[in-house]
Amino acid sequence: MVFKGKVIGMNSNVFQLPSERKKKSQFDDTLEALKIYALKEHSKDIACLETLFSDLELPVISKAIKPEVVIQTDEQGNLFSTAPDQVDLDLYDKALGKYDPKCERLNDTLRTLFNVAWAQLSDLLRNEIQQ
Amino acid sequence: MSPGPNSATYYEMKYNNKVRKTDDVAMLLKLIKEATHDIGQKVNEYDKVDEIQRQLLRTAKCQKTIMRHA
Repeated sequence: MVFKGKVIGMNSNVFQLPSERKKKSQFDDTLEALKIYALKEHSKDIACLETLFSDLELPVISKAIKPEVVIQTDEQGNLFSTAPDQVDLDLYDKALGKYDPKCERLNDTLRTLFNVAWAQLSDLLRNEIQQ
Repeated sequence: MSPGPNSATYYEMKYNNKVRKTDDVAMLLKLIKEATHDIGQKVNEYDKVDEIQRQLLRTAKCQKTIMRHA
């Protein structure tokens, strides 16, 4: 019986040991299928997931940078400060409010993708990884 | 509710003599890549050795031919 994995959305793309697989490009093909799965099921996180699929690194959401008071010097050499623009401050507040939910959603997505990838592993490959 | 010991998110990965409890998908993909590319790399190395042996054999045959005609 041909191993097709357990996730229907992966269209029978699986990870197998070289001795089991038929196509040499199986890893890249299944990674591509996982990317398409993420695009369909977790489209809101897809921009953050680029590093996962290109470099196999965990994505990190960077925090918004708070607009600071800018201290400058005028033509006579006197120091003066410029308060941050109110629009920038509003945008910062909005970004800060979205940060935690964004992180939580990304964590859920990563956990789902882990389980999907795990479900597409052949038993032999699972043993190999766990050894 | 915490995941059970048999669930995918809580399994123990032994790799490089270290036990890893992980749900890190990036780490899992790296391990899969290493496990699935390992033998392929070895085959490539064997291919290189074969190629060197073939070249040496060819050189030896050429030398033999040269010696015969000398």
